[in-house]
Amino acid sequence: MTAALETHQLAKRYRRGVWALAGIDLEIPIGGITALVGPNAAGKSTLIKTWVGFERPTRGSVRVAGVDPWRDRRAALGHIGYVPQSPALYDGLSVEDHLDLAVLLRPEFDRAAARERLDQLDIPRDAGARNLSGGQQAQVALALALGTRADILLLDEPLASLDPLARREFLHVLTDAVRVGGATALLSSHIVTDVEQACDGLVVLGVGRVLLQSSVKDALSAHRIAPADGATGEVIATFLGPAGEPLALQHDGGGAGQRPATLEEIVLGYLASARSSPNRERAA
Amino acid sequence: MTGALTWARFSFRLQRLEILILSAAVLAASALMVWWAFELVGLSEAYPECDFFGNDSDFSGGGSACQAPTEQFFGIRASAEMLISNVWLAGLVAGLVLGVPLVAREVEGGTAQLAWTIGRSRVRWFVGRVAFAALVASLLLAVIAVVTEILASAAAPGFDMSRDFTLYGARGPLVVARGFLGLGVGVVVGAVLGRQLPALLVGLILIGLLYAAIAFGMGRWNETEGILGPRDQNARGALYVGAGLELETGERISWGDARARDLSPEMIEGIDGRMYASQADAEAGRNAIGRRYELIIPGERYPEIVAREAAVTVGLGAVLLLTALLVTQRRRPR
Repeated sequence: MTAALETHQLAKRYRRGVWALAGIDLEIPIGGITALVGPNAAGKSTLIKTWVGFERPTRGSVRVAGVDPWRDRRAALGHIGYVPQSPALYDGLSVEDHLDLAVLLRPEFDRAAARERLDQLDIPRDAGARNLSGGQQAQVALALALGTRADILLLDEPLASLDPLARREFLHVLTDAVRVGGATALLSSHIVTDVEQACDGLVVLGVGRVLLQSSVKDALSAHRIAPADGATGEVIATFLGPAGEPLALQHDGGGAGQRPATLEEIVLGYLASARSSPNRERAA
Repeated sequence: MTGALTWARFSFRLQRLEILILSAAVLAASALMVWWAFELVGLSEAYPECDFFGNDSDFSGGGSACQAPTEQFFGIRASAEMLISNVWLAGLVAGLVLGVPLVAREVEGGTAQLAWTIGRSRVRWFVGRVAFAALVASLLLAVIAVVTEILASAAAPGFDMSRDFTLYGARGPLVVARGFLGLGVGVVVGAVLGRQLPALLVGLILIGLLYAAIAFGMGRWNETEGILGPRDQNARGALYVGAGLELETGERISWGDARARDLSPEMIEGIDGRMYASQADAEAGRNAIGRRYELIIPGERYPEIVAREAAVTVGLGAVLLLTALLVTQRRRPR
């Protein structure tokens, strides 16, 4: 097994007829952190929820460490630590109670490691969950996911509601845990700058399809920004720069007036390309 | 054992509000019923010469001294019976109130995502939560069951209420059994809808339908086992399961059949207990159509009939809980 997470021709349609995922093939390699980036309604949460076994594929298949989570949820969940979009903790329970509950639900839960992690962050374990800040709640949710000792962490936009400092702390804890524990993490977000430092891999998802899958390093080295009228390589898309100037994201190439693309520009370019040519999909 | 206690601790904290409200209601109702029972027993013991259930409407048994205690006894008894006769609702509502939030609140609040991914098995989570709710409902309703039995006995001094259908279904084990049914309805509707308030409303409707279905089904079942009741007196403590007209030929037909056969819609009962087509016939004692009959189940069978209905009710509750488990296994957390 070379992939921690896989999808094959995965399509998901909701009851109201909306296709959230339109037949995607994806392999997330074992180890490291992969950012799953895309705008709202791109299908990020749906994709993660199919791996968790919360959503059943309409077509195609998914695998978690080689296991189909819909057929063998128990085995799949044994590999998964999950942090939901909004950290939903039990209002009536303290932080310590959550750790006790986790042990009850999964006897092998590493309570000592979770306690240590929370203590390092100065999160009072006797505090009620409802009295914690958003950042602290996210950290508790992360500690619970890490405490499962799962080899795959699925994090569904945990940064969305956090302030910049809390986001940085969260990412620091995550990267630290992944590096030390050797786990695989998939972190979905629509805030590119946050994940640039933390992630090794990048998946850009738009309108239910994979627009780009690459390592962050390769993506940065393989793309350049040029004025819209000065592109020399394969143009992915044109979009407006910060000052309103038309820019072109191009694959490879080089020449006067060109510069390396930032990760945000790469993501913007691929999302713009999805709008102009909806069937575009590539690996860098 | 430690695991069970931990489950109980969590479950209590997660359902603290419902448990405290129900406990307070049970405590208040029980205190009132116990107090009434003491009052009734006190009156019975203080006035042994007064025949509270005799036919001496002029209090001749104990003389006029019995008038005041008899009125007091029946005043309390009327209030007690009114309360007990509404207790059948308590089990259903208590079960529903405890059952609805089990899955619905977790889905609504998003905590299902946490619980259902930390734990590998939703079955373990479900059983832990339902077991505690069932235990709480059983304990609270057992109190009501016992207190209603005590009060019913106090309200009928000298009668063996364990062999008596008086206040059938409103006292004793059936109250607890209905709690289990209410719990099953609450959990399954909550699991399907995933929202508490709609689940509570739909649950109330479903409970009404199921209660009516059980009452109808058990009524038909009991009717098949009914025996002819005494013609000249009330069958004390019996359960009346049917009535109709016994024709002069000996054939027994229901009142509905009697109407269908056009056996005079306004029959008159004569002084001899027979039914006549007109007042003149009744007075003359001629052309008798037949006489009314009643089917009863005698009071001796009370424990058996109660156990039977309780088993059916609990069985239905168990089926609903199994359905809720299947729904929970497959449902999205939000």
